[in-house]
Amino acid sequence: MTEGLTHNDILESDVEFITPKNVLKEKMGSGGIPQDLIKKSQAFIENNTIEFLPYAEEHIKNISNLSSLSQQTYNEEARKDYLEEISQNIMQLKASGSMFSYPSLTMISDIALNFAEQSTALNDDFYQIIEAYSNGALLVTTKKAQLITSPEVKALSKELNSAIERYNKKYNSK
Amino acid sequence: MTYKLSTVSVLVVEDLQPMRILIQSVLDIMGFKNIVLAHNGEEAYEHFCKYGTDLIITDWMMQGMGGLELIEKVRTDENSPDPFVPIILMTGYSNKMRVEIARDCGMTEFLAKPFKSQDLYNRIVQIVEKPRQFIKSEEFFGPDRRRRKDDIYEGPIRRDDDKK
Repeated sequence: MTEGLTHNDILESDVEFITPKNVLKEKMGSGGIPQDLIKKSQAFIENNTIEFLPYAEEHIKNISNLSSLSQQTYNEEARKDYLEEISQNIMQLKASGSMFSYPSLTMISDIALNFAEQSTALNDDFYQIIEAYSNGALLVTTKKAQLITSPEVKALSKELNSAIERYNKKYNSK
Repeated sequence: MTYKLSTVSVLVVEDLQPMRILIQSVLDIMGFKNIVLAHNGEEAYEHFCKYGTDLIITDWMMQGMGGLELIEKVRTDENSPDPFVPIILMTGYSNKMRVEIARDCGMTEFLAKPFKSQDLYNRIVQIVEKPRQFIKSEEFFGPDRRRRKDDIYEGPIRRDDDKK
């Protein structure tokens, strides 16, 4: 019965394609949103004064605490769970920084997030980098070193990148 | 002629208060007036079951029920009033593995944070103007995951609509 059919053909015989009613199109019609409104909403993102600092500080505190807790356990599974939580907090800082006038926070958090997501060796070197990042994150949020081009932020990201490069050469090189 | 947004209901699910306010404001400036805010997946799903919505914009990682679990409930729960509702999933994660997880859970569009207003608008336009077919199989229910240009399939043609 299945002669001439591939495995995928057999699998796909049970797949149903459905075209749902396009409710949004029916309600919204055509024509898009005027560009001036898109620009206005972008201007709001760039200039909003919504208070984010307390939330940023909370995430940075969480990272330090989770890093300490992680170093106190020898259980590999527990360490992985802590790493996931550390990554989540870094991700929140990366996601929110630029949207609340802290672009440098997004920039260094992006570096740290890539590092945390790719790290395989949770050792002293790893925790030192995380600590350097969280100290840097605190600096750029509390001291308002918000501009990516500021010398402080440039030095910080350079230092962070160098430390990660050294770590990768030592532990992640194939 | 422009989109008529005043009658469209949008459910925004975000646990971080400043981000919730920001997204609400951005949508409001764009012209959406019927915006409901939820702090997490549980609250969102409860609202969705009671009142429905035309569009869900949800964060991924939240305290309590997160975005992935919410999408799964909306798509597959027997009490879901509209398993086809478009869902934009937002997250600060952007590595390939995470994006694939999000795609496989049944989201309609992915929006990496931080985002620009234009990014959000582009996702909305995509949903309205180029809606995806839904796939129903034993393993998956959700929008067709093959639509994107970078997902171009170069293997043998097996479906009728592949030939188009």
